[in-house]
Amino acid sequence: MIRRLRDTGRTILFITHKLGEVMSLSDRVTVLRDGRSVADLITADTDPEEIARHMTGRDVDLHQRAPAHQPGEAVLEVSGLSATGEHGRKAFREASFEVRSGEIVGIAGIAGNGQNELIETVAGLRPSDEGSISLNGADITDAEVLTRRAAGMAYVPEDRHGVGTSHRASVWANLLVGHQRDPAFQRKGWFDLRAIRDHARSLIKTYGIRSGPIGAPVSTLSGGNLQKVVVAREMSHGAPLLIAEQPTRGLDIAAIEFIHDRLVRFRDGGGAVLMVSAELSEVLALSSRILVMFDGRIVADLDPSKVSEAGLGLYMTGAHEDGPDG
Amino acid sequence: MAEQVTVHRPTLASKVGAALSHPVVFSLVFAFALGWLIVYLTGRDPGFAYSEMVNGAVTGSGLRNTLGRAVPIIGMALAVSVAFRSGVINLGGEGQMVVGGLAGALVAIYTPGPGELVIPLAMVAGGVAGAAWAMLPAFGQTRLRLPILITSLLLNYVARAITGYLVRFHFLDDSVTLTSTRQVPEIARMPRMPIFGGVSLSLALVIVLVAVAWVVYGRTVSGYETQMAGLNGRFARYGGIQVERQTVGVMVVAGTIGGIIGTHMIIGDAYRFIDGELVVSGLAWTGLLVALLAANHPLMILVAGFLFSGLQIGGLAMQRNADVSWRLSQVLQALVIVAVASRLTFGWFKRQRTAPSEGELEPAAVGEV
Repeated sequence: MIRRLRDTGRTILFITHKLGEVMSLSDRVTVLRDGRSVADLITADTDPEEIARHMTGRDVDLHQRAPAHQPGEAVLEVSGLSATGEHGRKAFREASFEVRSGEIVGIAGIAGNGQNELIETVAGLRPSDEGSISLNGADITDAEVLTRRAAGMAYVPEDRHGVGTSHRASVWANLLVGHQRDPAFQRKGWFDLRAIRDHARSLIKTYGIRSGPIGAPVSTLSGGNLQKVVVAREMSHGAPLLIAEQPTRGLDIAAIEFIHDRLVRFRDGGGAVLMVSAELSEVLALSSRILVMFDGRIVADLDPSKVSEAGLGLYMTGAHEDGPDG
Repeated sequence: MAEQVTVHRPTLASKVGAALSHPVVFSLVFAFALGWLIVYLTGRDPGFAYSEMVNGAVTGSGLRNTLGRAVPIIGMALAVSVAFRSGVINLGGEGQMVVGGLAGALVAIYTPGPGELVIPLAMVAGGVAGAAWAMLPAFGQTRLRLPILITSLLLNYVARAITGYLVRFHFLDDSVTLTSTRQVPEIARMPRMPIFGGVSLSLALVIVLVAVAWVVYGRTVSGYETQMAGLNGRFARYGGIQVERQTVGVMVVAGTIGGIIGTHMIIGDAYRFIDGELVVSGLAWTGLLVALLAANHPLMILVAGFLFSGLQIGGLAMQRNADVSWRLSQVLQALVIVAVASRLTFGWFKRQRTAPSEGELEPAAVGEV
């Protein structure tokens, strides 16, 4: 569409932070950073790394980062899991997989093929119809959210504005949620406000969250910093399992790099990550294994080093399920 | 450095401008200015009317009456705010007050014994009855998915009808022409404190309740969890807060407060339960307005409650002395709420000419630690 407009002689000013779009659509690129134009490039003469370098002011590694160790014990085991979606239809069925310590398992799929519901069910926000979920060997199929969290689950949800944060609540209140009943923060229902504030301040420092006073509403933060709040909160309690849903959607490249770096460090520290992303490049770059969902089923379990973005896309459309020619 | 300080020192004009940017301050100024205009247009002297209103509200017996009327207004505002702050739209304060009031009245009238025993017992009975009444819409929502907004409102009429029936056919005082219970015996009446010419002890009670709410919201897990549910239900569920279970608890608290206030209105004010009187007084709805004005903040409810009470009491004095109808008080209340509800501020007028600015720094709804 845009190319056709260009070919009819129009001038198009396209503003994005997605490098793939820049490379495929544009003829010339201007990079803005901190309100100043820092580079003016011919698209054909440059590459994503160079643009990223201008955007962040430093070198950015956009490629696969291999795990340091072999994966260890299974942390999350899901077997034969099914659940019902919004309209009474089965959202996904007979999902069975495991996520081991030291690995990132990516789930790829076109939106609406059951990934959201699967994650919600594992996270305890949607009841399951059949099957079981266990975390570190403990059955959590019907456990409440706080029980799951106490058992070692952390969850970065897809919708960081509507679910992951509460806009009108303060920064500290947002950094606390999910752990408001931890003994570290309360005794017999009374908050230890000093511990809560110290925790919030240390997260702001460790994760470089650009925030005003911790009593200010979290809505005063930018999108990237909002996601840092979510990631900081979820990673700060040493949970062995992290569920990350669209962890970098809508973020600028510096924030994406930051979050990727955190995910990789978490994995290398022995954490297990279950990641859902619509960004195929992200799934391919980070995952140790890729599960593909189509029409509510896990249709493939792939090794990312042996599959291309195009090949992955074919699995996502269900082509391989229907036969070799799809 | 010194130069910077002088440059940034706010001028009087900028201070006034900043105050007017605050929605509550602006809405008060807005309401009283419009009220001024209305009185002026009717040919009366607005300055005299307002000064009579203020005098009537804070001098002599007026002050006692203002403090007395503040009890149910603040109490019902607190009951509403507890629910609203948790995201539970409880419009059943009136019914909870009426049912609790009758229960408390009957205990006070028919229980023999000393006041030290009967008065607290009546309060407990009123609170329990109000809580039980509030649980009907709560379970309606959690079990049957009937919205509390609707059921709690409609149950107000049911409460009126049931209490009216009970009074008329079972507890009627034949010696008076009212549809009313017998009088509460002297011994079972709420004592008065020897301040401002005798203010009901209930005033101390509601101030304590407000203080408790303030502490609960600022320092406890329950306060945090209910507020998170009120601000964003999906976030709260994600954070492991059991919103459904909480809804029932919140309604029980709101109903208890409503029932206690209803009981106070009988054993501390009217001394008999007259069918429909608690409804006609509109106290539950004034309380709702106060909660709106105070943005459900406990301490602000105290301030706004005294303000609205003073408006109502002062309005009567204004009618007596300045020949301006007391209904001006109701108009002022309504204007304040309209302005607050539409988030009308001084800045609003400026924004009409410029682009709407995002991310204005309001204080966080939760988190003023």
